[in-house]
Amino acid sequence: MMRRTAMLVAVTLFFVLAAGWTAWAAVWKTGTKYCSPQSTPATRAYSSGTTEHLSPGSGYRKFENGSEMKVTRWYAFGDDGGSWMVIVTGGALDDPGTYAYCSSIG
Amino acid sequence: MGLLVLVVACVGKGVPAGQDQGEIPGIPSSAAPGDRLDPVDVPSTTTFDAAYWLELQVECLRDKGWNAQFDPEGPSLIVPNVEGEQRLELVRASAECRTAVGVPEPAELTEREIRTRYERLIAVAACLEAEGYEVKPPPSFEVFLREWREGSPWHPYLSVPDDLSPGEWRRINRVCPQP
Repeated sequence: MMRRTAMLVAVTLFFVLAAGWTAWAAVWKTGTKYCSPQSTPATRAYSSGTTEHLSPGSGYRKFENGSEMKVTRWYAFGDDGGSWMVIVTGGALDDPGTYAYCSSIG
Repeated sequence: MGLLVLVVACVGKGVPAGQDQGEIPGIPSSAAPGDRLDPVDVPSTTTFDAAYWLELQVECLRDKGWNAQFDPEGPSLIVPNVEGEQRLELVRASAECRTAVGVPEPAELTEREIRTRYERLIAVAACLEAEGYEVKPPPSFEVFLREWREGSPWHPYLSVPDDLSPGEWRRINRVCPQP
């Protein structure tokens, strides 16, 4: 009986720790990007998991990629730029595949 | 006992392994009209309906006072006109909503499941080429598998140029959907 209880506690602790760890496991990439008035600032991410784009400017967009690595983009219409950030929770972020740029076609 | 309740609360909202696809909320529906690719039979442990989880998070963020909107293109969740310190508050609220609705953590895929993804991506590459895009040729499956495990696998959409109009970006994602 004691062994079963100890096992239950151990299993419970494992799941609590696992849930807690994954809930807080986040990676991000950040920077600053300004564009000329003829172009639109944008962010591109190559990632899995929950992917949040804080565009260079004032926008926010969130994607749910699940297990798949996907290419996601967010165009910051009406902004000339500023600080940007891509945050990934519960997944992977590909560093060279994630950046801000100026899209020449608005 | 409290811990056990917490475990059930944390684990119970995810997509359980081995459950029948028809009973799981959030399993992807078949391809949208206009999609060229046939749906691939992917095991239920690794399927994931982004729209379902995003719509739940939109409701949660609205309850917290944010002007969140669901965009079926993508699909994605948008909050317009958020600046300065508000952005960090939004990130915090968004993380709380993600936890509250119980978005499942991505499943660890088997080699067979990764091969299914690889084959699907090759089909997407062919679709993009048919649309006039030049796509970097796919690596062998062995190389793809290694890249996948390193977190940076080949993907045909990485070949799509940045200077694409938003409208064209949406169009090719509709015609050649990313798996």
